[in-house]
Amino acid sequence: MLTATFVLVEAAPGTAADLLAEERPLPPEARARLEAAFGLDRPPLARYGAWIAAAARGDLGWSTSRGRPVSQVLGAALPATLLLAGCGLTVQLVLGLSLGTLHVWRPRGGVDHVASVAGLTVASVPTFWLGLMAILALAYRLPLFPPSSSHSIGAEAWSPAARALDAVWHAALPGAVLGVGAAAALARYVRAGLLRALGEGFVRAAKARGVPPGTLVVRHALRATLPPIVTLTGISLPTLVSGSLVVEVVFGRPGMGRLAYDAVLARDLPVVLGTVLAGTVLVVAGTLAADLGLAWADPRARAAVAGGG
Amino acid sequence: MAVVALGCGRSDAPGNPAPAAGQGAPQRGGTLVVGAITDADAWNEYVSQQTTAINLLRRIYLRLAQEQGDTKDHPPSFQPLLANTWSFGGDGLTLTFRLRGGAWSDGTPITANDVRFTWKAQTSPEVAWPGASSKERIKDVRAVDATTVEFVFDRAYPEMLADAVEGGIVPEHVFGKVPFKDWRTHDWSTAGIGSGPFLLSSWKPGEEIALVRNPRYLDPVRPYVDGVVVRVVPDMGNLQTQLLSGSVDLIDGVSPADAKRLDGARGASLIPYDNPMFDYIGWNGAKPPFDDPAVRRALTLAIDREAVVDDLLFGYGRVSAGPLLSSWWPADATLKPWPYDPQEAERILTQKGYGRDHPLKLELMSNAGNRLREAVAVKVQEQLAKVGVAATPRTVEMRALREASASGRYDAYIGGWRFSGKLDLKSIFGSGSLPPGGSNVVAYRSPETDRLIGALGTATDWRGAKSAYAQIARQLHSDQPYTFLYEAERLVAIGPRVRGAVVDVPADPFARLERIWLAR
Repeated sequence: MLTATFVLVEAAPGTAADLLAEERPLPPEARARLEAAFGLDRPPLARYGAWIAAAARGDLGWSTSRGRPVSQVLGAALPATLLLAGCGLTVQLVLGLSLGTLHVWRPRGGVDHVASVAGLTVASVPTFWLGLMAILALAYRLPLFPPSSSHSIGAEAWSPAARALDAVWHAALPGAVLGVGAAAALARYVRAGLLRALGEGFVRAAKARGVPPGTLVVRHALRATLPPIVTLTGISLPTLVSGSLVVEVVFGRPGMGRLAYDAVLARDLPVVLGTVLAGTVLVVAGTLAADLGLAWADPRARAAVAGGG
Repeated sequence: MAVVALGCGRSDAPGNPAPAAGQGAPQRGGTLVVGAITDADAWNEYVSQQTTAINLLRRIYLRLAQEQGDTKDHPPSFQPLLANTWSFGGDGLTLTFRLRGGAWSDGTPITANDVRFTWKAQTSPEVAWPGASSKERIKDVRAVDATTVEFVFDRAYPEMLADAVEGGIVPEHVFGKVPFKDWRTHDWSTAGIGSGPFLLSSWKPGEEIALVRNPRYLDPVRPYVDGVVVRVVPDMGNLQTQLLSGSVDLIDGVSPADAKRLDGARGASLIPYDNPMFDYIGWNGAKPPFDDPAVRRALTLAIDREAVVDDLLFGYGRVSAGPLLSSWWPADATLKPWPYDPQEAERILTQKGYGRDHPLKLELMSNAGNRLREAVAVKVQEQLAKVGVAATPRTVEMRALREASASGRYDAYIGGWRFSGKLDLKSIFGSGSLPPGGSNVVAYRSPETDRLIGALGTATDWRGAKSAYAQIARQLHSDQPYTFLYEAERLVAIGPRVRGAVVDVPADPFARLERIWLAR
């Protein structure tokens, strides 16, 4: 993965030194000095080998576009993205499960149709447009949320609790924008799962025992649909992180998506490689979290793990 | 350069602001919030590449003197900053500055040794400062005593003072602890020192830059605001919404298309200022028929550049006559841009064997993301079609465009040149600056232009240089290696509580940051 990224960035035209030359006349000797300063006068293989050797020692290199070690740059971006993804995930789960349940309240009834159309519409809307509309409606016309950034000016001087609340307040609107599209897809998934579960024997038996309809859906049918939802959610975690790029740009928030995007534009190769490495770790962590969640939600999976199968 | 002010009159003495009538007395306090679409990259002027960082660094590390915007009729005058006075020696080769005797923000005196150290850094190959060519004629910088420093040049020329003061002076006792070879891999955001009105307080990459007032700023009139926060939001639409909602006070780089909507909306206003830059169409001089000056002139005659300025710049700009910006003293006011004359263009092209049945076909490239140039390409396509030229606009990523133009695989492209301090005509039009190393990507070769550029290098005073510049401009006007399109103005938008905003230094909207105050 890292080798492919390195080759792709190397194959693209231009170098980081071109950033300086862009639209400013630069004497040839000044360009040569710059390329030497960026280490671009060495062969690509030598540079890649040096990066791999340093990365193995925990040194991910220097970011030319952010003037800091790559590990620091990643360390600053990751929490912001995780908070955003956390908010997005919360919105996705709460909204997706609620809408999915609403769908089966009266299958093929008015509510089901309206929720279907609304869900499909939201899922079809581009995230950047949804973000801009959210800013216009909820940060400008009705100023309930901040329009950008991850914290208020001067928040550094506040108490930890106030800072945490401030961070969540800033992440709420972009998180909702990030999660709402995924929620529409999840609602369709939940709807299908619930409709299938409601036809199962154990649900019909519960209904025959006189279990009220609400309890029947939430406690019996919904629980049966949880395992695939947990898997879906775990797998979607890396997608939420990478999908945060557009939201991070529109809302002016720091984060992994924007970092990777800026680094590609700036030809900041160490940061590009660092974000790929971090993304790979997130995919593995997301898959592991999905497996653990599945073991918690599905006794059969737990038994299989315990039994070594 | 035009002096453009809003909310406050111009004052030549530093830190002595004179409020305009009706604005009331300046008020102290508050935090100015600036919106920017790009972040800083490094907090050292000599390794930074980003305009945002460099403009802010100029408010942290002062120069010996500050170039003013009065460049229309003569070379710019300079306002004292770290230096109080300066004078040339009898031989015309030494320039002596006397420092004001201020202190760095940590209390250490600012001395001539700091100036000498800065010159060493500026000229160090390990630092590789892109502006190092401004120091190439300075042979030595000597600390005569603690507050007297002498620059020794190898010959006299018009821009000696401008070259000597180029670049902020950095403190040797802090910056000297880092070897030059490590400057590009050092985190300068933690230096926590400066000589200017503001100091860097914190930097959250990709999000926020915070400046605070320097308590030891050498000028007795302190900045009005307590601090400046730069909010980095890469989306201009979001920034403009924030300006209108009052979350942001100032945005630089508003597009002309958005200007009408913003000006006057919710108390916002605009400050247009001259940007030392021109856009052009570069014709591939190494490829027929663009190697023929007559064909290039015909193409220029077929492009209605007034219409481009009116329709696409919304009047915020002017048609360009050549590479010498009209607001700079080297420009020759008698040299007029080629007119829009499609009949004459068609006549020349017919003479060269082109016509409706045998059209001249060309591909016109522009860099992706520059919406103005993309629109210009479409408009030029439409105009060239009227004289039977089939132009196909093609948008490519900036560095792909650079590579295509440097390798000669193109017909024409829309580009721009930005100048800082001096016009480096040799790099863009000299036959010794051809690709791959040089910037003369249109492969323009003219022995006469080379000779004139050489003569420019020997001029010892600005009047002699102006005459040489005028001859070069006429030669380029005749040869048209470029179709010089326009000089676009840049726009700063300010919110309703901002007072005292002024842009009177070329291309630096933050140059008078300390004069801005916030109405309550």
